[in-house]
Amino acid sequence: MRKPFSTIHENYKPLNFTIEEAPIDYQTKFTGDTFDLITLYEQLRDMIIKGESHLIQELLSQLLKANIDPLRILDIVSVAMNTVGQRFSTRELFIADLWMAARCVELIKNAIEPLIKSQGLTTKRETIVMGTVEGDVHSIGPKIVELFLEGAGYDVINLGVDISPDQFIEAIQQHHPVFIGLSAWLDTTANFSLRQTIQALDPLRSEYHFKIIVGGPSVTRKFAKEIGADGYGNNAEEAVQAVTQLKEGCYNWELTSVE
Amino acid sequence: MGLLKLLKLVIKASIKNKLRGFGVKLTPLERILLFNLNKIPDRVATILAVANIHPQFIDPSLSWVDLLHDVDKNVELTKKLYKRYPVDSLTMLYWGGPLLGSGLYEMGVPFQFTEWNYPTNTDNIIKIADDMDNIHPPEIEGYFETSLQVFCKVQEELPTIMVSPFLTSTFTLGCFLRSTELLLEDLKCYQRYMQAESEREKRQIEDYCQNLGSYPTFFMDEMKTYSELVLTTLQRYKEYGIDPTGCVFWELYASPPSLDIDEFLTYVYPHIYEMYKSVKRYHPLGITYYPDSVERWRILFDYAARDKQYLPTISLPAAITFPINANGDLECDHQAMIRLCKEYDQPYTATILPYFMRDASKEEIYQKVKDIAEASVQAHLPVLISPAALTNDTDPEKVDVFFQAVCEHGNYTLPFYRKHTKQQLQECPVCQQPTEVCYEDRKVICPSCHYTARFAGDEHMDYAVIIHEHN
Repeated sequence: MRKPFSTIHENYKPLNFTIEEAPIDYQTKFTGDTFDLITLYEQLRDMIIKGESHLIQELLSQLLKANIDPLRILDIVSVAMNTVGQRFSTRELFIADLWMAARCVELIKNAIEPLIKSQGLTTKRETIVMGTVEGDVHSIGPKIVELFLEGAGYDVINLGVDISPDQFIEAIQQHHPVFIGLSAWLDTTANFSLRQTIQALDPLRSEYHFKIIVGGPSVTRKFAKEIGADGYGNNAEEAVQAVTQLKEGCYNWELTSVE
Repeated sequence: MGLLKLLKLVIKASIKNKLRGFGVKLTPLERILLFNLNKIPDRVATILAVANIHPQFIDPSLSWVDLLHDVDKNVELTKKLYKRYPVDSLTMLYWGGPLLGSGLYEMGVPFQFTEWNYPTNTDNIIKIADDMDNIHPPEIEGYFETSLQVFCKVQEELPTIMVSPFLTSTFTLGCFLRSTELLLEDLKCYQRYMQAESEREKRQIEDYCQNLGSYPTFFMDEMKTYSELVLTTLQRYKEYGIDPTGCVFWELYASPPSLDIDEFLTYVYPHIYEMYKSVKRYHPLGITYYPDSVERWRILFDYAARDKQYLPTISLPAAITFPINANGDLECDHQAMIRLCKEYDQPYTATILPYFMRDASKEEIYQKVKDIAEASVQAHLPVLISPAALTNDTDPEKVDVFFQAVCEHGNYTLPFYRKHTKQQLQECPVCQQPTEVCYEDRKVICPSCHYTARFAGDEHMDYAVIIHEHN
């Protein structure tokens, strides 16, 4: 089971640059000892977007050597993943690119998690637990949703594939998520496991106050409503939209889905 | 089916097709053969991928586990399906599914078997490059043998329809052996390595790959191996006495959104094309590819036209590529697709998703299929239409409606009737008296001799196409 990787310090102020800023010339600005810190941040951001996982390690060690606040690095990750998500939805990037971006994030997380822990930073981000239901081993869709949700500022615990109702219950008890994301690719697992998982999680709602959103190619809005989900996303963008609207209490089954 | 027999069948089908005006009817096999050769048959052809249908849809007492080893039950179920629906072609005959039918279990991929779910692989077996040494083609045993037995028996017992082998193609086979994520990563590493501008970056990629247990050019090597595995699997069909004519290669994961079409054409297609050349003599029904938009479809066709090579592709809009809307339907403009295919002289395969078949009303299904069928007739394009899968909770009558719409609206007209100008519509072809033309119902009625005809087209068009007439 993966753990949440990001924690936000109470006094942390986000960086004030955006993705639309001028392009970066890597070769001339990345000069080692006398580097421009912002340029390094920008490089990290762009490396994630481009999925240059083979270059991340070197840059990361430069940043860490310079005693950079690890939370600033997480902010870069968030900005980058947001852009990756946007570019995926406009088909400028593809799953292969997303996967490489995810590899970059994984390498970054592995490097900075110990630092965050040792500095005792406290989390303020809300947690989402998600996974593919029992009997279903399709992981790519949930992976994309995970990236989109991380980009939207959530800590996402992706339990992975073939997750039984008991495993979801255990994760709820451990992480107290505000949302549970359930994915089913196959029509069989949608019909059987997804339904069964929601039934199993229902009794926990009063104690843990979470909402359930569902998705996957075999899940339609009508079906999602029928099996007792609180929200539905037929793609990653809609999943984020559903989460936001449910949080704000303005989710409307009839209006949220793309027709 | 030998080449000579195939040739005879095609000639017979072509002659019969021209004699339709005299009441000659095509068999389902003849219809699908003509579609396969990009010729206009008598009506829009239909195909069912059997293993995509829940066994409970046909017989509620059966589960997937019941069907794993029982050849007779598989065959009986298929025959029941064929008896109920006027389908022209059947593929994926074994209820173990396309993965077991491609011999993946016998290659060493672990599977999970439950009563309520398709047999699903639970892990991948090529974790690092060295694992390739242990990969072997499937022997004729176990589930793979059962699938071959089912195939033989169905082919024998249903000789008038096209029954074609269904094999997992190169890239998709790699996804199941190596995992989609790692295969995509292998491709990206190879791509970066080939495009690296400095020796330093090349070394960085080498180090990165080494940490993953592979090397930068591993992708090319593994793709070659996967193609060989597919070909050997097809060879096993032949060894077992199965005619591979009309075989389908299922290439699911190389399409958008997994890969951009440029990446597909540069890094994946050459492997598939090499494989295709080896099996060309069996007239493969196609290698499925799933462009996610009309624009990307055009790129694919342009590529084929530029290189003057036949594109061995059934292009399918599917749930994994085309976004599906909240009603479970593809956001795919079939009419636009049909126009594009007509422009490039390519046949078209239209898919109706199982979620739409499950959740939409009978009227919605009828209208959807009717629109596709009429557009096919109007464009005079060979079209194959299929409900991609059927779930156990789908109303069987909805599937009746699907086929009813194909049969009522998917009849191609003989060349004589192809185009009618507005003026021609207004004159009865039997008694030459003025007719009543109702564009709303798309009907022509002659009050004098009671000739009636249904046509495709509307008042804004220059001409209409008569699709059915009755004297």
